[in-house]
Order: sequence, then structure tokens, then C-alpha cells
Amino acid sequence: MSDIILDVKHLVVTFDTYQGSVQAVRDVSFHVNRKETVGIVGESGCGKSVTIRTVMGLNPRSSGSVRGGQALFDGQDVLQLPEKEIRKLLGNRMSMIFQDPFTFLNPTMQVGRQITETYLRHHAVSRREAEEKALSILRLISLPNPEQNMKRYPHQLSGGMRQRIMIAMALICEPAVLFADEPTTALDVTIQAQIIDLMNSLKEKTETAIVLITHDMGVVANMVDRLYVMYAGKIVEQGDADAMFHRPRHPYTWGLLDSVPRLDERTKEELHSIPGMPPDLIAPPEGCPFAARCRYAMNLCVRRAPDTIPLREEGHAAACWLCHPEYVRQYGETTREGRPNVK
Amino acid sequence: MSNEHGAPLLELKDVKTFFRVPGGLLKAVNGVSLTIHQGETVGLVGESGCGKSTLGKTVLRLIPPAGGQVLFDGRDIWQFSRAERKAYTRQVQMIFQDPYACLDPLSVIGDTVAEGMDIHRMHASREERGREILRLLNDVGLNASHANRFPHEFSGGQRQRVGIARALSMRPRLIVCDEPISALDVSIQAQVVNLLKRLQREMGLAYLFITHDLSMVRQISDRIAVMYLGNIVEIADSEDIYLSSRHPYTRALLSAIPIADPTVEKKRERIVLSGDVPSPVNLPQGCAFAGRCPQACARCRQTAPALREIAPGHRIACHLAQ
Amino acid sequence: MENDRSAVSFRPDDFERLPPPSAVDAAIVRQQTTYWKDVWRTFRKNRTALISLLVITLLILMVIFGPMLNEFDYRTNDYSAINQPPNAVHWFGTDNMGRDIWTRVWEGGRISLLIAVLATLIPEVIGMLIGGVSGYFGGWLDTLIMRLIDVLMGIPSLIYMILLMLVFGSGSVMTLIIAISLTGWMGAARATRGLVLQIKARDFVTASETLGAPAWWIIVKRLIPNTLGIRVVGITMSIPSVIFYEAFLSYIGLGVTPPTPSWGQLIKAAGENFRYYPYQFIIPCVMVGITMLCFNLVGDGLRDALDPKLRG
Repeated sequence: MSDIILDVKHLVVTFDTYQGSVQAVRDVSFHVNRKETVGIVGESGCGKSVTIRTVMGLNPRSSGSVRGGQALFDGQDVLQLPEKEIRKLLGNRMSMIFQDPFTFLNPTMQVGRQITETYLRHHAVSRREAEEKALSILRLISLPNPEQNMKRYPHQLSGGMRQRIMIAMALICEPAVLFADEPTTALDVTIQAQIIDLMNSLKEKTETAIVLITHDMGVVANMVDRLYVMYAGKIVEQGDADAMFHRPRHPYTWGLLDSVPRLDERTKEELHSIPGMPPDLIAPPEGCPFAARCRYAMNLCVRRAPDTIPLREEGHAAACWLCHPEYVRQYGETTREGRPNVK
Repeated sequence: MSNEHGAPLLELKDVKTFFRVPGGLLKAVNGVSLTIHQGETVGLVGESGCGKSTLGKTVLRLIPPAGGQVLFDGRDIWQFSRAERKAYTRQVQMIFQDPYACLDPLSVIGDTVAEGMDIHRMHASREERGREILRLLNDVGLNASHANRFPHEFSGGQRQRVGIARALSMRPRLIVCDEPISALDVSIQAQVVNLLKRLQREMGLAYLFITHDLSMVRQISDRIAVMYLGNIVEIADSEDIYLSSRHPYTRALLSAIPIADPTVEKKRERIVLSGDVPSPVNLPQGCAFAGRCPQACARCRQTAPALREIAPGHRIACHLAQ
Repeated sequence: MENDRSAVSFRPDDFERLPPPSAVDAAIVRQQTTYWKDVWRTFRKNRTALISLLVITLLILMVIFGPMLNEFDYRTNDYSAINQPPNAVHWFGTDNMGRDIWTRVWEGGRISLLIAVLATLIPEVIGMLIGGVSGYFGGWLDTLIMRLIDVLMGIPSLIYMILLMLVFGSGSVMTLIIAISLTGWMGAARATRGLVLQIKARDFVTASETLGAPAWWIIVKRLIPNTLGIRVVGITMSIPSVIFYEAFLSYIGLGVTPPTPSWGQLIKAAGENFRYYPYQFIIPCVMVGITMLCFNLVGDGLRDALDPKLRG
């Protein structure tokens, strides 16, 4: 049994619109190990959600939007699977939690019933056994008064509780991979802290690998083992959490980290911001997609897009010319704190 | 930083805003007093349902208060004459949370920006109107080519800037910012905050900056008020809130903000509040926060603490803080 | 990949820095679209709807220019040529008074379409304003208007019709339009009010309020235009029912009076001799059928084109 549960290779996804093809995902490769927590961080429109939805077969297939690549789940390419086979995987071996639990839950059904139905769909057990299973999962996610709350309808629960219910539904079949798409964005800060704590505790209590998709570097900091940073449909930097947070090498990762205000330091006058906005993926630039917003951009950056360049640490890599051996040989390594200007 | 000298631009005196709902009276704002001076930013922070947006709408004359007074330049805004009301709409403007809902999808950006000028007939000719639109778009970092475009062609951050330009067109003295950045990407949030700060410097604007997120208001706020269930529980200079906050709720809010550094995160002491914000309908007796407060004692459950000064400019509503 | 990278060769100025990025946003690269352009693009893909629109255009051209294509007029009797089947002189034949049916069909179509369009648009505009006011102000005014509509809608519209005809005297086109309008605005008002209730909660309406916009400004410039996109389907779909209604009223003798033709009038007149001269009956029937069908299909196409869920 290989250690890798999900291996996505060179995924290309485009959407046809009347204004042209939107190249939403441009050659994205990533993998998830068993029991591991992986973060995919990027701003809206960077392709992070499209990537995950494609892997889960949730994008409409009719449009022929997947233009290339593989997504090997347990060695099996899910992109080639017929719809019926995918349905068997979803909610069972792969599951997902969304940003807004309210639209996800059925408003006319008791939440406990929704959880047991999910289990019954994939397991030939009695309703009684399914209910017991649901109770145990609700205890696992520390929902207060699980017996009573199971009998409630979604609108009778608070936002935090609904999010817990959705997590319970996602976990009841003990999936190999759980995708979490911005699970805390719609929640209040104190509830967000509860959910982050909960997901951290789940890492220890279950066998499930978690893929956390978010735009907030702060949310992933305390949670993930490895991190991918996406920008304009590409993965621009990847590596262990330690390397990514302490020795990041891509200017976009720096920008993301600097945009999160530090509460433990004295304030600076201006917040660090990344100027401009992401490129329109109908006509992505020929060179590096971040060049137009990058403080370190060179002539080379607009001429040619950089490949993913492996760095010193195992698994750490960045798609940036600043990391190219030739550049490093001439000018030395560039760090997040910046360095003397080249001239 | 607080400039307590001089008469305040806006003064809220024990403002109460109630709504009748099935099952009781929803006390959205339950006796809030607050001042904002010219050129000052007051951050109003709290979780959803704490009444911060209702308070903002009360200031904008969109929702009448059930009690208390809102004074602008010393005059009660709910006693205004028709002419004064009209003048008031030009002095107090609003920036909205949802960049998708705040622009009319059928109007081009130029018309949206000029709407206030059109309503008040502030321009003498079409040329002047066009020049003014350009000036406003430039002020917020957009350019002439954007004026004839429709909102759906813009990103969230750009739409938010259009909203800011629309507010600026009235040359206001106070802008109520209702969660203006919470729907934006992090890198864009910083752009908008920096833009608001720059405009404040250039025009001497005052902001009432409403948000649920303590992390972003620090850079823009001179003072911060923390609200919980219709009441201000702590108010102090911005730095005091971050470095020496005394109310358990404020401290919980601060500790709930994730920090983008795993080493700091692991060492940090976190206060995770249990449960949810209770409903503002039929509030319990005593301190509204007592149900979730890790330090609550018997006294907290019986009498509600009043806001009292514990240091110059630092007021707090808690029995326990010294 | 690995080999590629080591093979990269650099130009001497490759590592030279570019000027720092500017804070002002670049112009948008995508081509400009408007809401209606976008709708038109989707609509065009629906072939049935497009053909229907062409047919409607053709019908409109014909009711304007059709009567000019031959030398006959719609009221001159020619007893030397009664009940002639379609032939080279009288393309659609003649009726029992020797009047040219070709001319009468297009003249009648002019009246029918005029009534259909006016009797759809007039109540729509009235209904929109009343619905807009009702929805925007809410409160007792809203309750009053809505209850009034409930009561008025409870009375069958044919009763109004007969009453109005008695009051105004039946027969003229104006009376017919007024009569249909007086019963038609209520549905439009209800629909608009429902939409206004949704739209007025949106931030851009609040924004107009904080800018000091008066109520009429908000209703006319913000609320009603934003309901139009959704209402336009209903409006298109109601044209065929008005055409049918007009035909029906003429048929039972409440419509336009002869010799002024309308499709309903023609059908009624020909119905008496249907067995002997079926063409006199079938031709106007086909016209009514085609028009109703085309307007319905166009409405269908519009609904698809306007549905935000189906748009990319």
C-alpha cells in the first residue's frame, strides 16, 4: 500500500465562455499522503476550488473542461471513472465540507437523519446501527447534546453547529480524504477558533487525510503538514509547513504572509499590500503570472514563465526565477526580508 | 492618538435600537454611547448579531433609534428639518460589505459614482460631471477606461473602490464603513485599508469602521470599541486594545485570530470560547457575556456591569477587571 | 523537465529589474459586454426562438405593408366577386361581401397586434409603478394596495369587460385597450411588488438612500429597471394571451365592430360559412396561431437567456 492516497498530475482545466476559454487550472500537480493535512492557499479565482471540484468530479463533465492530467485516488484515475463509480466514492472514501453549511444541508430534514442517510447510502446496515454511528461521530466532533441536536432542523442550529453537522456528515464513512473548502470563512472569529481546534483534534482521532483550501495563511499555519500556494491557476510554491512559513522563497508567498497582520508586533504605518490584481485567465500572460504585481520582477519574468525549481529542502519547490541556480549563483539567494537591489 | 479635544463630530448618547420579532423584543443596540472626532477612525468590532451594523444604520438615519440621541455637530439627527436632512446625507456616507450587491448591476461605473452628484445636482455641465467622475476614479486607483464598464466586469476589490468613490463624491465628513474588507482577498484587503487611510489623511475624513475581525482594524483605527450583544464591553485606544485589553471577551477575540506563523501559534495561549453567541431576544439578567465567559462569577450573572474608566481613555464593562 | 531547466540560456539583460508595479489598475482586457448583449448572445443560440423572432418581425412588416401590396382596400364591397377562393387577383380570396381577404387579414392583424402590444404594455407600466410604490414603501400603503388587488382580482374580468363596454360603448379599439388594461395591471403590480421586496434589501438600494435619493428616484431608477429583466419574459408571454383575448371578445361580440377588421372579427364572420368557405376561417386562425406560438417561443428563449443559472 503506497503512502500516497491522492496524486494529481499535470491537471489542466479550462472553462469555455463566450469571451474565450478561461484557463482556470494550468498544469497543477500535487499529492496528499495518508493521514496528512495539506493546505492549498490562494486568492479567489486562483483555481484552488476548481482543482478540488474536478478531482471530486463535481464540475460538469459535459463541457469537457478537463483538458489533461490525471487524478490518482488510491492508484485509480478518478477523472476516467464513470459517473456511477464516482458517486460510490463521494461521501464515502472522499468527502467534502463547504464554506456555507446552510445551503448544503437539507432544510426540511432533521440533521441526525441527514447524517444517517449518508451512512446508509454506502453501508448495508440497519437504521439503528447507522444512528449509533452518527451519535458516535457527533461525540467525536464534540457537538453539545448530540441526542437532542440530532432531532433538530438546520435552521434551529447556529452557524458553528451547522458547520459541525456538515463535518460529521463528511466524516461518518471514515473517508480517506476530506476536502475542506474555506470551512471557516463564513464563521465568526470565536467560532472559527472552535472549528480550527476541532479539525486539529480530528487529525489525531481519525485516519482521514485533510485537504484544506483557504485564502488565509493564518488558518493553515497551525494545522497543515504541507502547503501549496496557488496563483493564477498554477502552484507557485510548495513545501513543508516549516519551510513555507519560515523560509518561503516565492514573492507571492511573502506577499500572502505579509498581508496577515501581526498582532504580537507594534504596528507599521502601512499594511503590506500586493499591488494590482491577478491576471485575467482568459489571456494569461506569457511570462510569470505574478510578474505584474511583483516587486522583484525582472526582464526575464515577463519573457518566460519559470518552471518549478526544487530547493534545498526535501519537497520544497518554487516557480520563480529568483530561485533559479543561475540567478542564485550570480546574485545570491533572495529572502523574504528583501536584499540589496540588483544593478 | 485619541484626539479627545474639541467637540466631537458624532456623538451617540445611550442609543437603543429595538426590533419587534416573533417571541419578544430584539435589543440589537442596547444603550451605546460613543464619540467620533473629525479625522478620527473608531473601529467597532463584534461578532455577527452584536448590533454593530444596526448601530451603523442608525447613524445613517436608516433605522430610527428606540431611545437615546445621535448628535452630529451637536445637533440631534432625528430632529433635523428637511433641509438639514439633505445636508446630512452629504456629510455622512457609507461603504458596504458586499462588493457584489452594493453596485447596481445595470448602471455603468461612471453613473454609479455620479449618482449622488446627480441626485443633488452638484455639477453645472456634462463636462464637469465627467471631470468629477474621472477625478474620483483616480482618487481610488481606477482610471478613465473603467467609467463605461458594468460592475460584473470588475473584481471584488475594484468594486469596493467604486463604492468608496461613490461615497467620496458627496465630500463627506464621516464615512460609516460596514465590513468593507471582510469579503475581499487578503492581499486586496490591505489595498483597501491603505486606500482608506490615504483618503483620510488627504481629506480629514472620520470613519466608523465596523468589522468582525480585530486583525485588520488595528492599522486603521485610532480607537476601538468592542461590542457584544448590543453593548460596548470595552473601548480604548487601538494599541491598548491589542497590548493591554482587559475584558475577557476582547482577549478571547484577540486570541482567536490565527497568526501566520506556526511557531508563534504553537506557543500562544489560546482562549477558545465555548458555545455560540446567544440570541439578542430576551437577554438574560446580568452580564450578557457571562454565559460564555471563562471567569464568570455569581455577581456577573446577577448585575450587568456598567462601562467604567480603568485608565485614561480606556473604559470597560466588567466586574472583574481592575 | 529537469533537463529543460539546466538547458535554459539567459540573455544578458534577463536579470535586470523592472520598474515597481503601479498602484493604479490596468484597463480591463476583456471585451466589453452589457447585460443585454449577453442576453442576446444566449438568445441567438436558441434557433427556435430566433426563427420565432424573425416570424414576428415579418408579421409586423406585413401588417404594416401587406395591404399596400395589392390594389384593394379592406372596406370596399365588390359584389361581382364574393366568396372567391384564393386566386391570382385575390391572393387569399374574398369574403361574402367581396372584400379582399389578403387586405383584411393584414389590416385586422394591425388592429390585433396594436391591441395586443398596447394592452400589454399599458397595464404593465401602470402595474410596475403601483407595484414599485407598494413594495418600496411597504406598511399600510402596501397592505391597502394589495388587499385592493385581491378584491379586484376576485371578480371575473369578463364582468368588468361587459361593464366597461356598456359605459364606454363597445366597438372602438381604444375602449378595448382601456378595458383590457384596467384588468391587466393587477397581475403586473403583484409580480413587480414581489421582486421589489427582494431588490430593495440589496445594498445598492441602501446606497442610493444614503446618497439622499428621493423615493421616486429609487423606484424608477433602481427598483423597476432591475425587475425588468425578470418581468420581460412574463410580458412577452402575455402578448399571445391578449391576442387570444381580443379574438375571443370580438367573437362574442364585445370586440371591435365591423367593418373594422381584427383577427377575432374575421374568425367570427367566417365561422358562419365555415363549411362552405373554410379558407375564410382558416387563414385568420392560422395567423392567430402563428403569432401566439411565436411570442410564446420568444418568451421561452428569453427566459433561458435571462436565467442567471444558465449563463456562464
